[in-house]
Amino acid sequence: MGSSIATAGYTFVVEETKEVVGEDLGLLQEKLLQLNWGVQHPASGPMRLKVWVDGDEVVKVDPDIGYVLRLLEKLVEYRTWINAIVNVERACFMDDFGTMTGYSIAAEKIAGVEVPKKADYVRTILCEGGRIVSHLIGLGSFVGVMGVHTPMQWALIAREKFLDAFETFSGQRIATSSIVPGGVRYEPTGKFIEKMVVAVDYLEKEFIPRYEEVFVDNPTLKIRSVGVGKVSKEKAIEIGLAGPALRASGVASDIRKDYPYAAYGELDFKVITKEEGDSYARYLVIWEELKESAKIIRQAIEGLPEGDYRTKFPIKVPQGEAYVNVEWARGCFGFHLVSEGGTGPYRLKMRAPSFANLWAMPEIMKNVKLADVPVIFASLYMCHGDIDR
Amino acid sequence: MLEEVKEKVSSKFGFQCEEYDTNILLVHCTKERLRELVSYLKELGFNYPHTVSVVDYTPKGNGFQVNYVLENLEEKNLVMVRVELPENDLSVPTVSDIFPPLQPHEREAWEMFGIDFIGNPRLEVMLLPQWAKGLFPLRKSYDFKKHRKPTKEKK
Amino acid sequence: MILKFFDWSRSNSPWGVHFCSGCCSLEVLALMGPRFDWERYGFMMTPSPRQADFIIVTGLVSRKVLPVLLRVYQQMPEPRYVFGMGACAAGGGPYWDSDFVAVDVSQYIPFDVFVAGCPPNPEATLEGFLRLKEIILRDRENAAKRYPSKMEQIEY
Repeated sequence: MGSSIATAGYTFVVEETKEVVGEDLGLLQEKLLQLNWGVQHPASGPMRLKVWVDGDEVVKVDPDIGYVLRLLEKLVEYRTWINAIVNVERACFMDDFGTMTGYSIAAEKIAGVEVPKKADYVRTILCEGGRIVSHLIGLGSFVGVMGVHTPMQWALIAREKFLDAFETFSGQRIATSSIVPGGVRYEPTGKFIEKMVVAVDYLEKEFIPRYEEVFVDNPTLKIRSVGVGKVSKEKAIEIGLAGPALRASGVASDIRKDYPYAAYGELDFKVITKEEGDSYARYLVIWEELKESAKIIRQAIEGLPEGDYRTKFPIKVPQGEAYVNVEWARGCFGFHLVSEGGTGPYRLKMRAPSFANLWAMPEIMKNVKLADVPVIFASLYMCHGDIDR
Repeated sequence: MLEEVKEKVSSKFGFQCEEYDTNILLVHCTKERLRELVSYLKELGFNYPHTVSVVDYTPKGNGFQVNYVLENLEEKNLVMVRVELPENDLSVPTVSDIFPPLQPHEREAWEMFGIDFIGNPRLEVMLLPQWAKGLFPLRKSYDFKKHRKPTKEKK
Repeated sequence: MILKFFDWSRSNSPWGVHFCSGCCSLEVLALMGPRFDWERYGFMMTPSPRQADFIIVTGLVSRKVLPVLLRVYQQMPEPRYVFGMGACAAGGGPYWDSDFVAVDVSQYIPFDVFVAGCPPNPEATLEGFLRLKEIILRDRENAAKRYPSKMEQIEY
């Protein structure tokens, strides 16, 4: 299979001294080697990391992004209020419910529409389902970059059960377009609830104990990740980390708790924080949030009220604007939505957590070993569609 | 809590403040005193920046709006600082040295809207392909429909 | 005769380039997973385009990733096959009016199979892959011929 470097996907390029931007690296520049991590790379996804290395030490990292740019913020301006969710949810497929919920809440705030309580609960169930689906891939890919592909396969088994439930609900496995301004699009049937319970049962009774036994507290995993990419609490705020990465550094910031939306105010759950702030802590935060999400789904299913699941949303929405945050799988997703009284949004600004994490990454990756680059990258838990939008 | 911030800001700077939403305070700021206000807000505890959101109001003749969203992680509330820019002078001092995470957000706003953040160390094309530099696609004057290739007409 | 033997063996273990340009790659991931398990049909991913038989255009191709996609395609040995996944590869999908998305990818590289959907179900994708197997088995000359000769002159 060739040399190990070729299989790891690193491609060597002629040193491009011109491309060193920002701070002047001086004499060091001449002996540095620039490695391209991506665009075509199994772990990077459609983005490029330019990594300057001195021997085995990383000197500087510069992300090159925009490879999945669709300009969603502009596309939304051509859509109607309801149609826009199709573009909004495609910010990232892994957890599409969070983005749809945030956009819908923002639109409802401008229009002054009150959502039925049942819709709030269904949104909560779906959001947590989406979070679990996304976290499972996050766990799998974190261990995956270290060369062990079994956890991803196990995670995919559990993921399929949730996707079955979404398929029963909306007819699509991912990209369901099921949360619209004014409620949810479909009636949560008994069959959907049943499948959701089956999925959560599988997650709690089969997946979690089995996974915990092998891949949590695993000595080999710890050698690779404990102390790698350490970020202190003050530093995490200063460089603007978001989501699980921020909570792994000891900052208890969770939009579900701080600014409750949907039905989160009435449910009982706790915010997971870790003090260590290294890659392993970030992995554990994702892991424990998985358990917490399963509990939330159970509570929401128990408390599911009777009534309508959707109200009428006006075609034309009065002038106004709103800034709404939701706790998406990857962190706090902000929507700045502006209406000018038209049939569609005038402007939508999406504040993407992965974008914040990505630009905090060069700071974390200073003076680490080259082999730690994929580990830190995977532990920050980013989605490319979300970075570029 | 936000009432206190409101009083402090309006007494110190004389800016108009209004309640934007529950937990969100809107401050209308001028670009000359933007840096001063942002550093003051950082001292007050608004240390976690969210984003720079630009709204283009040129079709109405109102120029551009630059919104800075900052969060207080301890008290759990947000403040939105709003700067209005006329169409013929699209420059605003950078706050990327006060809040380093805002640097890429300013860079994005520059490439999408053409707003010059004076002092930002790195105003380069980030998301767009190189050939699209200077197109400023999120402006209202840039229309996808004009640039679209004509499709075959139905017979 | 010997070429036919090569085609037969290639059709039984086609390798694809590990390259994702858009969001449909999530469903490829599901396809690699235990439930749909495409390896029972012999499909596999390889990190290097030099060892690959086919490339999956996973949905959206933005204008920035297009040169990369074409370059990866050029690096593949002949005969090579292109698998188009999702509505975006066929006609832009939900981003059909965006300027920064290559709406009609088929004018840059020749496709063999399209699968409809946004994103397509893994069942549908698997069906498409079985079609790809048939094409590999019988369409060798076509695939080699359809390589656009003036690839360098394409304006992105």
